[in-house]
Amino acid sequence: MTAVPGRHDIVVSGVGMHPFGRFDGKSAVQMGAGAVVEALIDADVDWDAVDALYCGHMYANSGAGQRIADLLGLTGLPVINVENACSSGGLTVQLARQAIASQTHRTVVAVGVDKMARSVMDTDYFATWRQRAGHAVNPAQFALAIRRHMHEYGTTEDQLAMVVVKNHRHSVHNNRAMCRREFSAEEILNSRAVVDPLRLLMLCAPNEGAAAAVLTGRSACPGDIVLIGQGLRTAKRDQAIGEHMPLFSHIDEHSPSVTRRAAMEAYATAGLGPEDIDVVELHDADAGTEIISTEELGLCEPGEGGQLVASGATALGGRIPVNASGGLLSKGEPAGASGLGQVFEIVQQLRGSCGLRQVADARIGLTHALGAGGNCSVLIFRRHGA
Amino acid sequence: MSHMQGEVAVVVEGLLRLCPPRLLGAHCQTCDRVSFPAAQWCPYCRSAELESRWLSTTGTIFSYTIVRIPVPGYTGPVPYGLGVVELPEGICINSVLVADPLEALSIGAPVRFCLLDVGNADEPLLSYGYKLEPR
Repeated sequence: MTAVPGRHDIVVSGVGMHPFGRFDGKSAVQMGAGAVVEALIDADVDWDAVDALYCGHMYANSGAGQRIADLLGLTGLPVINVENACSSGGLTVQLARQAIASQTHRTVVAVGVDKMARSVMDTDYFATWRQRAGHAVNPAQFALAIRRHMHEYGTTEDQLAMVVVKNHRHSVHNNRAMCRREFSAEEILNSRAVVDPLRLLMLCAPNEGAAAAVLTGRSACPGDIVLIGQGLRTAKRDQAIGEHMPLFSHIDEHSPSVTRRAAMEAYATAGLGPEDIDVVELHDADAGTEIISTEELGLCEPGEGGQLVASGATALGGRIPVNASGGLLSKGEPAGASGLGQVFEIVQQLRGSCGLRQVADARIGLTHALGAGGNCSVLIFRRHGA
Repeated sequence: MSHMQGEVAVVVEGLLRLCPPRLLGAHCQTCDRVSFPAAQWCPYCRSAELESRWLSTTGTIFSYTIVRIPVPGYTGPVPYGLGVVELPEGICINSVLVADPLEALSIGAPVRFCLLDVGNADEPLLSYGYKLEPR
């Protein structure tokens, strides 16, 4: 169906998710097609009624979206492949929203897929000489950020471990997570040092998986999950550390970080503030990023992220549960799919269908994805009529 | 893909001066800002009016980590220090950090520019770092 005149809500009518983990013999495209089929069934939308497919990925090679369409039926629909590193999945939803809001399309499928090699990400984001010089260490930017945070605010290694304990505790109830068991703080603090102060169990593992959402432009009915706010930003040259991994920068302490700017835009477009959010899925690529992101998303004051997790506020049952799915620390991170995996969780949370990991009375939820180049996508969803 | 500078392979051309050791940046004649490494345009104002500028050899550690894992594309010794150094020019640059022991690295500590071999026994490769100053 093509565009319909008039202004519409952006309804997330269905979501699907292939579990994140390791699936030998199964391609990223096959997992993606599975996630799309689940989302279409969930939305009660026929593949023939889909106006466009946007496919986020980082490592799935050329034409991944077209190969997914090849499995589902070549209806001739427009397909766009989207690469924004670890926030590719978040970006597909932003683009779907734009297409629907501009009345270019009515029904868009956003899918994210990836099948990543084990161990440290081999990223061509860095110039060859920087790789040779030893600068191209994917988790180092996280370590530099939390080391600085510890210096400025007194954040502790114990607080880093608390983030991991919390997210793994949540993951026990998520059958789509890769790792579903509890870890003790002791186990985490005794795991192998990787990039000080971050240890192996404080870092998410790159892995495989897919997630999808069907977005439809129509008037929302009570109970519908509606995308009500979005922000998309890239870093400036005024922060010395961050996902943009700058070779050089100046420092402007008063300049908001990329997550803060994306969040401000998302809150402004949604017409609400952080105090209105009931449930958050944020980009816990590592334990330090979760602490810093809770501050940058406005869930607490700058410097208080360590105390926030220590207080229990971000655990299930707390004031503002963060990563009830278990987060990337438990699910692992297929880079192209992680942002849509967050959307899958938030939609289920707002529907109240998360069982033992359900956040009570969740009405408004937020997702936050960060990727190389310092790009940040923040999305806010609301259960209509709630 | 090594670039030869004299008889020594260096990580990239146009980054280093060997004697005395210096790092090559650029000073924009239009906006007065210093950038690194020297590029065709100023990354702040896009002016092409850039003058070479040898960067300060002293600075302080803004943040640091100790890398204890193999790193794609890097053949030098592990573990090693990596961090961000704040220079008197008002810019921060990414650099390998040298200290013995590495655990002596700390934020705010003074460091001094040095040349560094980031290759292995068979194939030396010249790069740069900042070394912790004795207290």
